[in-house]
Amino acid sequence: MRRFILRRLLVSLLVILTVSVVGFSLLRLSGNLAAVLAGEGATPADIAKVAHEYGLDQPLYLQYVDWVLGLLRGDLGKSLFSGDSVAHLIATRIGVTLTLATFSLVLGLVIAIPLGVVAATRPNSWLDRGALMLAVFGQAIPGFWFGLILIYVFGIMLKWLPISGADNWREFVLPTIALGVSIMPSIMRLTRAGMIEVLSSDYIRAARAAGLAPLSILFKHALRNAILPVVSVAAVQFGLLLGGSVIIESVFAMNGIGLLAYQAIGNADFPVVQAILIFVSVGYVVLTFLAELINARLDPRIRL
Amino acid sequence: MSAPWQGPPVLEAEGLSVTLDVPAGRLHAVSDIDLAVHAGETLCLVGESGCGKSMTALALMKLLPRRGKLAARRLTLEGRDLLPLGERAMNALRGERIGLISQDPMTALNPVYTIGNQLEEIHRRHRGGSRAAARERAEYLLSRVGIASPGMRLGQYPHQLSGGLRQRMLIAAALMCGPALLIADEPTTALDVTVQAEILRLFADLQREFRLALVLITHDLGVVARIGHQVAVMYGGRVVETGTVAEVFRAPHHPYTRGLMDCIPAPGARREARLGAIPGIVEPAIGERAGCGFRNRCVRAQPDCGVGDIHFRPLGTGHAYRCLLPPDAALARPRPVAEVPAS
Amino acid sequence: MTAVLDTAPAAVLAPTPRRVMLRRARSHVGLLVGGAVVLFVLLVALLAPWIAPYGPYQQDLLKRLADPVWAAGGSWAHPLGTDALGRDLLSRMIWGARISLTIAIVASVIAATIGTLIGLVGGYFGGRVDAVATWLINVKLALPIILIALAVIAIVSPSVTLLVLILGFLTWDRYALVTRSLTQQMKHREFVLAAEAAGASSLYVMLREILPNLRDQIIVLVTLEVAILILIEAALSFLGLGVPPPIPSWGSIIADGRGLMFYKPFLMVVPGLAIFVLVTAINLFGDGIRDVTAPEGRA
Repeated sequence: MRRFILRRLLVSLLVILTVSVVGFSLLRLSGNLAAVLAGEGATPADIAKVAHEYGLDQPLYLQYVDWVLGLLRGDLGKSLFSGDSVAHLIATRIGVTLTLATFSLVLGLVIAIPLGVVAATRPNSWLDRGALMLAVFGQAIPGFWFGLILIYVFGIMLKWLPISGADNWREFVLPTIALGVSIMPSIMRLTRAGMIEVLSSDYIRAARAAGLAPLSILFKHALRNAILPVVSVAAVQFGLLLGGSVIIESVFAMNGIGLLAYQAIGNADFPVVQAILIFVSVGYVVLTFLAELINARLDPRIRL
Repeated sequence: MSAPWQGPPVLEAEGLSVTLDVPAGRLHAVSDIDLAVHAGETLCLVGESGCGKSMTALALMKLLPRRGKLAARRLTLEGRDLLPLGERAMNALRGERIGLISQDPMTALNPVYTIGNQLEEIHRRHRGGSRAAARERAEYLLSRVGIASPGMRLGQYPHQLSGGLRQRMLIAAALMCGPALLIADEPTTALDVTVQAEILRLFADLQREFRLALVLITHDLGVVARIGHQVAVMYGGRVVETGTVAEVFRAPHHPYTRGLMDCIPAPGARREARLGAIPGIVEPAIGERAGCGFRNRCVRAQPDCGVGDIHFRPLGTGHAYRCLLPPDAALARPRPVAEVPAS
Repeated sequence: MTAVLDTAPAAVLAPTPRRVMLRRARSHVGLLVGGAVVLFVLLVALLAPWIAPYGPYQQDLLKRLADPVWAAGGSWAHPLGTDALGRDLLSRMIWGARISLTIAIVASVIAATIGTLIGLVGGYFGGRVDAVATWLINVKLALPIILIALAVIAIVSPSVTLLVLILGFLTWDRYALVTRSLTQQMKHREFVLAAEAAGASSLYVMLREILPNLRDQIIVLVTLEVAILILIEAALSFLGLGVPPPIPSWGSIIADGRGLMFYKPFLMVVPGLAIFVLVTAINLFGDGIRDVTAPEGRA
């Protein structure tokens, strides 16, 4: 088990390293960053000055090394727009994004798992078909549009809920619904598929033959087996929620790191952008690593 | 091995049939089976894959797949009529009065729970009571079925046990609540030959000690010979020959039974003689069929074999076979090792 | 499929025969309904220059914010109404379909090419080559598509070509994962071993033996990924960094309609509904193809 963890850890670290290089280089290589910073109508001399000021005229690997050294000191640079420390900016905003992602994941799971379980117990019934159609719809709705519709219906027409901000729990309701709906389909399908397979397995039939209580068979025996892949997917979805936060946070004007990234992009504030980019990517790698750990823990065949 | 059985049968079935509606039509998995097993008696259901023996076992517990429909004139367990019972009542009986030992020990155990957890749950489900009581019973049974250090085993997971140990564990699980009837589906098929003999011996011991009625499903005539008292040979969802093991083995009448016997290498046979084989393959039993299902593979088939219902011919002492051939004709050819016709 | 030796065994890996597929397809509701809608939208997109009543940039400032035909002041001149600049919504929707579908399809093809290549090579060679392929896939999976797309497009400045390239280079991971897994299973099959034994080069085996057998799965993937790309492109355009205005995209039309949401909600509702219907149809169609070509792959 320990070797397993160690191997996985090494792989994850390698990916993190690569991802940081990619995230770092992407911005500097995709165009003339200095030109963008210098703005329109800048002369080559202006651009050169800007490049020098931000260290953009150094070779790429040196820039990267500088940045990593800074990172080890806890210094992610300063925002070109506000002058604040990038680390500080992220730290104050990350709470909103994490909260939203957590709420959304929980909502998605709370709807998807029971739905998937029930659908699996009656395959091809109208309930099952309904659940599958729900999944199809959920995957087809554009998140940002659904957010706008929710705003229109519940915020404007019915006036039940606030339509922007992230200061109190009420302001999280609509965005959570929007995101939860987008996560629900994949988890529901996975749960359903896993349950269908498990329910036809020998040990479930043996459990029925032993006269075990139907609820126990369904939840204690079947679900416990079927849930394993769902854990991984849930972790991945959480990571995707972090990366895709920019859309919903823009629609609902929530000051999380998604909106921060969007604003920074608009301001060509590249230290902020690259920091968020790398942060989200590393977060994803960490999450998938954690998912593998949880998986190993849950499945005695791997654990022992 | 052919003692007359005292008292009423533990399990009795008359006219048992199972049909499934599949896309291609109506599948007659089991047709018109009569069975009876007494305490301390072992009934073996023998036949090839697909002959309906496993489905029969499930039918006895009313544990059919969703699409399956059960019909019977009579189905009783310990004198109790099972036919009108709903799922809830059947669920209470399963594991408590009837124990099923599934076919493949590798897959019949839940991989994510310990042995102890699974055994105890069975006991507590039907008997209530404390975990300690359940655990005690589990430990007792595990050692009774020949598992050393039962206490340690209870804390282990299925994948940590060998095939033979798992099979023993399945037997213990079936016995947790002291059932009257055990149904074992191919209990030795997945095991090594050496372990097979031990498991069969175990079955015989347990049966004697607990006065179990045992229905044993197998395709292996060797198993039948070893611990069977009664045997019912099945083909195409029907019983084609039934009787005591001694009688049927001594004088098989139905061509299919004779064919099965011929497939076994016999000591003392001529060197050049070929081992018997039954030509053809089992036809799927879809749609209404008349006559005998074996006729397209039977070397003695006649045109009449495809007509109407073929009834049992009783031979006394409970031995009967379902064929148009009269007893003398059925026995006519000595039991040679037959030539295999060119395919 | 094609074999190096003509005497290779016949039914080694039998892709579903055409007859069986067509029979299944005929009774598959999702496939038929989804396919019909997809076909309809494709035709609309193809014939846009001829069937759109107005050009995509045509403004009529006198007819700004006209209501759609079902509302009080609407008329058939502008069945879906007009936007803040007097542009006919129906026409913009038609032209938008053309643009969005083109982007999604081309990007999908690019992604499929990259992903299949990586998956094939990694799956077939195994060992260190596969370690590299897996590492590439893992890195790609970790990168947030939307954020990177926004950042790069902001630096380089938006254009349709850039959008297609970025999307193509950011969405190949699913192809790689699937083809890698399938290739790993397939490389032990007899027809591959037969080809290798006959001296076929690795390139030949990958391209002429394994790849044709992946065809059905890749088609299903492309279809489903097109749907995803439509959603991504719409989101990027909504945020202003997708299809550069004034080129119409359903996403940017929604963005335009957002400010007028309280007043003229249809400007925002209609394009979103269109995206929803189209993506649903594509998903149903793609799932249908999967059911028809390999029902075992489905739960």
